Amino acid sequence: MSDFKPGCDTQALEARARMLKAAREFFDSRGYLEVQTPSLSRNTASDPFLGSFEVCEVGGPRYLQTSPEFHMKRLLATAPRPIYQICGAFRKGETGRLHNSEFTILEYYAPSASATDMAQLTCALIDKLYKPEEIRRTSYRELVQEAYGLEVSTAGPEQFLEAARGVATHADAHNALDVLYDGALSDLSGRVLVQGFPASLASLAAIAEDGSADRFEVIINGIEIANGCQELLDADEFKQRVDYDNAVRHLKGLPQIECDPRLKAALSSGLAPVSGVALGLDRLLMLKLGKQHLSEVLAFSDEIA
Amino acid sequence: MANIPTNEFRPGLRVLLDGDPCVIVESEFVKPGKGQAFTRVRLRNLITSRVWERTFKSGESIPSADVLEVTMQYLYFDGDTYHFMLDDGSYEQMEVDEKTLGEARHWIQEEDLCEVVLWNGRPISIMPPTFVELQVAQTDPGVRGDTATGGTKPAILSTGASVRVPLFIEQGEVLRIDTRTGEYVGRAKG
Repeated sequence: MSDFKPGCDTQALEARARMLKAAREFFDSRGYLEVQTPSLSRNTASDPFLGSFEVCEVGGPRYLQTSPEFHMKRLLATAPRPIYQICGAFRKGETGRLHNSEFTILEYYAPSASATDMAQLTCALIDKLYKPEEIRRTSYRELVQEAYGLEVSTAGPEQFLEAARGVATHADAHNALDVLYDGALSDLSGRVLVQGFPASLASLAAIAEDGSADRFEVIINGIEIANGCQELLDADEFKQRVDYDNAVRHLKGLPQIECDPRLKAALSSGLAPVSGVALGLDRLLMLKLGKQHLSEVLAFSDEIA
Repeated sequence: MANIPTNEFRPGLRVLLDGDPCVIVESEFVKPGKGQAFTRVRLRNLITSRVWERTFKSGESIPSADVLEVTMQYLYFDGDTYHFMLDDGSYEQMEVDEKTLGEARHWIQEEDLCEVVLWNGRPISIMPPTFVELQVAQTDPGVRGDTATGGTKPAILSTGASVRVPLFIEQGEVLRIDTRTGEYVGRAKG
């Protein structure tokens, strides 16, 4: 084999080390505790479009974690204090210019902070790790309106589908919203903070008073860098969302995912209000170094790992 | 025929789309936020050379196309179709109509070697040699010594193709032509 060598240069290795150090300084100086939680767990995320690697173990399967969210919330339920973690996260089937099935996530939570507080913190973090830059604040509704002239609250499903077909030939009634959002992002330059997502794209975010999902995304040059939210606290609602995901999974012939009993118990025990953020460090490093492909900032990307 | 799933899409892969053989030029994995992943693909239709942009859901698959690239020697034109012979020693011959031959018919002479794309065993596109040497059949008399003004004039080549040539070129001269652009490169050497 001639491809034993790393896919990135020394400069990228050094820039990564500096970025990790700067991230730790940022959180340590703000009183956050660095934590380590398992990569392998009996449970995993139920989002229909998140694929988990399944690992065989005596006594049943384990899953490589798609993010450290579940374990970190279990920590927060017993000891509510600001925490952060830098770790590998795993997503099956995600390999490409902006994806690697194993990637580095920077995840942080702050009790009693709002999603807006966390968006502000995230922007300060990006200023430090990447570069200070003006931010455009916008909403999901505004982005779709701008790109396609469609009013999200009043447009019918046929109008979404028609617009989505214009962007991508695979668009159908189920993925029209995703396709439209992705298409709208691809035209953005600079740093953009998006809020006000439809409740159908809530994942594990709380629902705000206006009925939208209380979450945000930070987009830089059209690339999703971070997403955060006011976390869902209601154990029954959590179970309902997992059930709904499983119904969608069933329709699509995807494996069923058990509702994590330990996370559900942690929520039931009374998790105090908390907001959290996940940030893709590899992507941020890619932008910082002006690279076009994640494999240029990973020592060993999917292709050669 | 084998079906190829999106995660095996690579540049250069030959697939069948809307009934036409295509080659994948570019393939990108896209995953919008919390949404369903898809693959954005640019493909060149091997019959029309048109480039298409399509998207496919992850896990979707499309049939591969039985496409082969071979070298063939141009033999002769019988007044109706063009005859080619496989250059692999098999002496197998195939006929190509004028529409399939397309632009290449302006440039090829008997015995020229061409890159031919076969789909299900039949020629669908013919690529002439990048550079060909052709004789000038007709042009206005040359302007001797005029190598400085950079002016050009039309010339008809032995194959019937029309090209712009420098003013000093004479009828009967053999010229080197770039078939990608259809432009005069210089006088043939030797």
